[in-house]
Amino acid sequence: MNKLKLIKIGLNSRLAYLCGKTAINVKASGFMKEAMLYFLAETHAAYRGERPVFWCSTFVPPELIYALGGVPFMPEVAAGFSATLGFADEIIAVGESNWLNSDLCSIHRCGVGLTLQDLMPEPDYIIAASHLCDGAKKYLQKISMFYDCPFFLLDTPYDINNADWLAEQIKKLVKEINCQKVDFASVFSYSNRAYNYHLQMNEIRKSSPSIISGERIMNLVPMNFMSFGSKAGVNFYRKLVAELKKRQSANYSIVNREKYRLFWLHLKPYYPQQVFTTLRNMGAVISFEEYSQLYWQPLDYRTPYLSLAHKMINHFGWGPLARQLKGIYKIIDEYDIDGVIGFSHRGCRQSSGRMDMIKKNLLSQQIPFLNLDGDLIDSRNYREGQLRTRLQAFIELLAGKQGAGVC
Amino acid sequence: MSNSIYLNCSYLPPELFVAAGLKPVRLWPEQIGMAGQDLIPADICPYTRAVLSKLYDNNDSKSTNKRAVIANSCDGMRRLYDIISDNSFLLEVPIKSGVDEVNYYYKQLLGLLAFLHIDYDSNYREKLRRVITEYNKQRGLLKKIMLTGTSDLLLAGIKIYSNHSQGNLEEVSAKIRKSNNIFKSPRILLSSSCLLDGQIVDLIERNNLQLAAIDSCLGERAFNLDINVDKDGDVLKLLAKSYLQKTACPRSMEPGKRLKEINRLVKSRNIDGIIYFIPKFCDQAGYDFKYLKDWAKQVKIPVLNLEGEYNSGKSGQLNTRIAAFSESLIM
Repeated sequence: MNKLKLIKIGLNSRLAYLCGKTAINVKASGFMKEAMLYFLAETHAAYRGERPVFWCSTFVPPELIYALGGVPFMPEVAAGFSATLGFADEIIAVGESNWLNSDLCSIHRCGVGLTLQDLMPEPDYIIAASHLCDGAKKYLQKISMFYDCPFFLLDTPYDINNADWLAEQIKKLVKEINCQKVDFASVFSYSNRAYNYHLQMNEIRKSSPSIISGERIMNLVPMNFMSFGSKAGVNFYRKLVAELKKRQSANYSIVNREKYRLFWLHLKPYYPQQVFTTLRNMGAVISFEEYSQLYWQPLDYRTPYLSLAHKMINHFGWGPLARQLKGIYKIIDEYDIDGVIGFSHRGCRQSSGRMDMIKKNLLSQQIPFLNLDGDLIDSRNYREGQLRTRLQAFIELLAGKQGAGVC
Repeated sequence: MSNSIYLNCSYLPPELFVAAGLKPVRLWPEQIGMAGQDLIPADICPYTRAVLSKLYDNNDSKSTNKRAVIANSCDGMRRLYDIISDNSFLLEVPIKSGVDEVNYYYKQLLGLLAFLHIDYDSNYREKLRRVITEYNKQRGLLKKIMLTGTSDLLLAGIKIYSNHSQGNLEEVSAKIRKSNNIFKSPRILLSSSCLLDGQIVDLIERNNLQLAAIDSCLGERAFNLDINVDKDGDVLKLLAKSYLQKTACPRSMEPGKRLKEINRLVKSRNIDGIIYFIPKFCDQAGYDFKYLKDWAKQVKIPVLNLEGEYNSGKSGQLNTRIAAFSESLIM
């Protein structure tokens, strides 16, 4: 029996979830345990249809789904997991064989492949936002036809002054879904509590040396995308803060001698790779990453639709470049950053499209920048030697700037 | 400052600018210059890079004083706006065309007028009505050329319509002659998000195919609307509605409406085959093609998928593929 068949059986088996839960309770602890239990519970709920399953593009606020009593399921996150589990490449090839050309984002090609391989939970609703990238809304609309399920589009304005237009769309969507109870008050309360813990985490991480690596936080980025608005999200961020405080008082450092504090833009490759080990070996640490920015304000249940609209529109990658740059400089300053690495995901017109402009701006201020090309989930073009050479050259540049030798 | 204002999208009404004494020029660049290569990554679509080059006069200078209105139509255009935002206006164009969307688009057009310091008073409204009437005539002529003329006349006509070149549409229309097409060539619908430099049109005709419909932003989608200005009411609202509800483009999130239009073209123009041109790295066209391909399979219309950059007309590979497609249709 091949790996995909086994995964399919596992995803639909009550016994597999029970075994998984027992293993997590025995083996894991702290924030990792909370994250793993959250994903297990939500995956189980989605595959067994315990609550209405809402597929959404990544920047549809999960608070909306929780308020509607649903399970948020983000195929883009599923694509990331498939890379981590080592079967994304063959799934992407399935998407490509279905007339999706290889210039399109691999995450979306993978989403289509996972659907065609029947590895996804069947959606009750699909919600896509025109937020950030063109591909997400398109492929999700196509998938809604495949499943013959209702599709909702949130046409997201670029200008915050038009937030009321998006708020109206969200309100209309809620009305059309017509669920019996829409609980914004408690969901927003969970979201804001998680937000406050996240804020604390960001404060603690300003300390030097770095006490948690950006790589680890980026591995947990699905919690950022999906868990806000759930009780599990609060527990996760609470435990994470507790762990960081413990590390801080124990003078913990993730490398023996931290030489370079780096800021990572966009996300990281989710298949096995040596990027972060290579950096660590040279005393370089990802001290902060773009996706840990809290770009929104705590949500207000008295104006729920506008509050959610503001959260969506204020995303750092949406709206003016000047706003994104302002956020980058703030982090460089507050986290005492020595250099910036921007990961240019192939096929990503929104993020990698801006990378050169960000690079030019930072270099004009003498801030070292490395534009690292690659793919978040498709390992077929991963070239370790080439990548290592580029990272080494970048660290040499940082060393030259600091007037110190390379490790 | 020049009174020219550059537009990137067929959803932007040129009438709005003409009524204010401005000269709207539809951006139809024919090559990627230095600025497009230097400032925008290579995996952003060629049209975006060529537009930037055009606004920078094809040189590598670091600024432009050309004013542009850019529709918020795709990631590429947003990246373009990142670079030229000092002189430009990003117009939010909804991706659906219902009543709410029309009202929203109307509000955006009012915002655009404010940006251009144009008073939306009775004087301007009256001028706008007159300009729309004139544009209706031009669109009528273009439709006539499309249906009865040749592709070179059509391209010349569209360039005049978009202020890309000087000339008179009536004179172009007068050049229409009876077809001397003795052999009955297969009739082709050419579909795309953007046909870039239009060379693909020549390539199709060189391969004994007859271009019977051009479903592209720089083709029929640019003039396939007629606005009834005799109706009472707010003329700007009328303009917003007419433009937003015109033939849907690959960016639209109304695939049903879009395929209905393709179906109409196929039936009314007796189409034998479809050639779909995807500009390299155009996500909108990439997904649109998937819809069209699935539909064409159901209705048994042959489809050829081509992908390219500027100068695609000079590509031997594309020529061979079109020749093979032509042969398969003839057989």
